[in-house]
Amino acid sequence: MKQLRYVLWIGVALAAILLAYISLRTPSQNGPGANKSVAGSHFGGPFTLVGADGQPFSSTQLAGKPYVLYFGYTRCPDTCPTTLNRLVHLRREVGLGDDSFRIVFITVDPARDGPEEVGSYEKAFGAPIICLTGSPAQIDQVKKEYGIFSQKVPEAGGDYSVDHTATILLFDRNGKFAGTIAPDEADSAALGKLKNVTAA
Amino acid sequence: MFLGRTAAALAALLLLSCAPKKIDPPQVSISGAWSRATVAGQSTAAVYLTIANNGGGDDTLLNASTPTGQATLHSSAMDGAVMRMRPLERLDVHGHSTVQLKPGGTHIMVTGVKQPLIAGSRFPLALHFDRSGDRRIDVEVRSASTAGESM
Repeated sequence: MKQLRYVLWIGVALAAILLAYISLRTPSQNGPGANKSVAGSHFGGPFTLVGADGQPFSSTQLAGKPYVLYFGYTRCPDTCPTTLNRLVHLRREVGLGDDSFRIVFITVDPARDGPEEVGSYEKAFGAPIICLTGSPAQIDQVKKEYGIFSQKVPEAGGDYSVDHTATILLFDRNGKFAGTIAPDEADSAALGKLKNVTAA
Repeated sequence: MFLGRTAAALAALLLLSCAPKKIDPPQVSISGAWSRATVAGQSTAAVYLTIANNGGGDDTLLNASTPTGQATLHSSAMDGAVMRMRPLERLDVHGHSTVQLKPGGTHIMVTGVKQPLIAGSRFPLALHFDRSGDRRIDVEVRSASTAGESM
């Protein structure tokens, strides 16, 4: 009987150690760049930016149709054009036409991406996409609201590239956050999510 | 005497085990080189291609050059949810292996592109290998909407 009690107490101690380990470990998995706010209650919200025509663009203009948000910069040679082109192709695969959901690109490099630059970016993918810029303060605000990290990285020759969150954010026709697509996620999984948000 | 012979045998073994890589030449061939058309204001492009080494010997891609701009080896990699792009010092191409430079991964970044890259055009690129020397190829410029979309 006494032995059983010892065994039980050892069990309790082990459980306590395990719990302590889990609770200490969890926050460290949300390092810089992790989409901490994606799961939080203050994620997203209305925004006003600047469109390719140089006029204010309000998020209320997106109401009524599902949309995806992707943050990047027009000089990005690799990830951004790859992702936008992928979204255009996935939208074709959903098969409900180019207006079944909107593809919205927001620059994280407002210093180099003015209305003119995002305007020519809109035309580069052979399908309608919305490209937005804004003042540095407007961009900072929307990045903060949507949990987007970005950081300039100097390149040879005085140029710079930008490290940035590459997650695609999904919103339903009411503007409610509906999930994410990771850049390295399989097309089949991404297509399933887009079909869901389009049908919702 | 015995020790000397053992040492000689060991040395011979060691030489033999290293030898194939040194003697076998690499046989490097490049295919499918393409880049995206640039948009207004964009002076940076990424070149993607496939390097096949059909020889037994290893080789290393040291760098690249093009009259179009400054070429550097680069790689994009996910760090959590963040895409980070960094220069690569070199790219190993082992014997009997194929290395793919593709969207979302290793690529040759060309900065300071002064003339816009127009879909349907081509530009020259030289790849400099440690053992195979220089390989000159043409890079096909594709429109952003037809270029490979998966990572």
